[in-house]
Amino acid sequence: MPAMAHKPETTPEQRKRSLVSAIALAVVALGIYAVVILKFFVYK
Amino acid sequence: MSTSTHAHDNHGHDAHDHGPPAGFTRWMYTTNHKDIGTMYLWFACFMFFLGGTMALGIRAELFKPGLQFFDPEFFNSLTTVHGLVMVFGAIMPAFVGFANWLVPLQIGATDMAFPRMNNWSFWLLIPAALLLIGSFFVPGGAAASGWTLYPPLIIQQGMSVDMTILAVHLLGASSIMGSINIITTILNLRAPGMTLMRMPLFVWTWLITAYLLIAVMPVLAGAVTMLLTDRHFGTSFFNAAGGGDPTMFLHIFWFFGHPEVYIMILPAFGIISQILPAFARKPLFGYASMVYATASIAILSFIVWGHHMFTVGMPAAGNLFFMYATMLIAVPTGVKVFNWIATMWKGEMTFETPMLFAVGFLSLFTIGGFTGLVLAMVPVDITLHNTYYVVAHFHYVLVSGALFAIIGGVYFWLPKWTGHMYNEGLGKLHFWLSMIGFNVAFFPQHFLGLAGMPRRIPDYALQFAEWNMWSSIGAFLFGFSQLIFVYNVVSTIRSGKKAEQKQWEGADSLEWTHLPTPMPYHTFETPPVLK
Repeated sequence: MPAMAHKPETTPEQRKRSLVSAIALAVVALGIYAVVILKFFVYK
Repeated sequence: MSTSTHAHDNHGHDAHDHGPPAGFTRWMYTTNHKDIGTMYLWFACFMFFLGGTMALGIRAELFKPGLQFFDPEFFNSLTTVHGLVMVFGAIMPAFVGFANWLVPLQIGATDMAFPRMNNWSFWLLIPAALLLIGSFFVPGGAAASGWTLYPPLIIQQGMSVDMTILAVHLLGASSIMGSINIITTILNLRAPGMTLMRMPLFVWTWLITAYLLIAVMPVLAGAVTMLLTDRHFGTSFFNAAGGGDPTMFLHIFWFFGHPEVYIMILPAFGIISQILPAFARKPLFGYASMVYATASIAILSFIVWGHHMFTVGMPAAGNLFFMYATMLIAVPTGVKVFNWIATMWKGEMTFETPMLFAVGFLSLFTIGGFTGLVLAMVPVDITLHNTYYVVAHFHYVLVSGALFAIIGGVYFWLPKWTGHMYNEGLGKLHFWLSMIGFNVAFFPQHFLGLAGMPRRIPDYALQFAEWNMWSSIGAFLFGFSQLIFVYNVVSTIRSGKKAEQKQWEGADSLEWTHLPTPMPYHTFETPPVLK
């Protein structure tokens, strides 16, 4: 099996929780960016 | 903190363990956290030498008064790109390299939660680096406003600024993806029994650092996006000529910039918290208080940004708030320094190279911390603002702080990573030359700053000549002594005495207690058993 095709052996529950965590964190990051930008665009 | 209550035999777990594929594709497509960690570390090493070369250019120019080699505009580009390369290209990627290598190993996970995103996070660094380096070769030369990218100067420069802004966006995206990966991995993929309060300090410091990154990198991205629209799309956010406010950029930038300082130092705290107990042969003193102190420093870092801009004319109440808030950070930092010293107290210490760098870190970072307190005082800062005292202060924090921790960490884990023991004699030589070179380079800069020498100038008054000469001599000694480090690392990778599974007697995290040396390509496919 080539190394690049190696799949980490995580449980479905871990994968699900990881995905939820990642989406939540990405939304936070994008939200902060949007707030910084929109605050000034709207104000102007 | 010891987490290995049961020595689970991991040697036979990898019945289908295999080596990596050979050649370029291994590195291009790899999703293995160890490979990606290695790439981050080599990338950081390259960028460190690139930024270091720029630093030596700066010091060569400042060796004596008058213009020797560069015109002032190019000198300003050197200081700017040196700062950007060292912050975003060397220190941060180096710590992400450590996180990639160590976080899965220390929590008993088989890999990062999102290995493909991990690969992408790394490869985004390459175009960003090319943009930064390439900006020297476009008309007008590289950005010359300092790494802080202050308007209005940055708005008036050529296309190199657009390249820098794009590079910052790419680096920010890479950092955010890396942080999401680290947080997700730590929160979801810990081995059974690895509770949060049993995690090694390095993992804790990275968990907190990753939250800091997610909170502030989008703020920097917002600031530089607005710079871009000011430059090309007719807005005037920061352009006074159009009704904008350059000071607003300072507020937004430093809301990112001060937490960024802790992003560059908290993982160093984590590395030092692993090295000191290992060579003192004692558990880390005050583990829980170290965790809470780290979190306190991170939270406080959000309310101190104004201390970078005491001279812009904030109200006195604002200045006082930022002054006291900044001084408050000394409390949790003091807790950490106390705990490190208490860890060493009555320990059976030996002074191999990682320990030397850790003790060097402890003494010199503390000097940098104290000069930070000096600069936190408003009346003092108004005098010292933009002088070489500030340059000395942050180099004591970032070079003898962050960089010494990185170097100490490499020496500490190199036997585990490579399966070979490094040359101890060369390591000690490297430490002492670095220690002498660093202090000769940067300690006199305190005197220069106190005497009034401004930073970011290619020429200076005669009264500053002598200490500048010493500073340049020290800088060259420090810079060239790093070649010993590269030689030592490369020769350790290629050959050397076989390292033991637990090379350091006092090391007690999972990679030392549960994994053979050298480690198999895939580890912890069966989670370790922790009681």
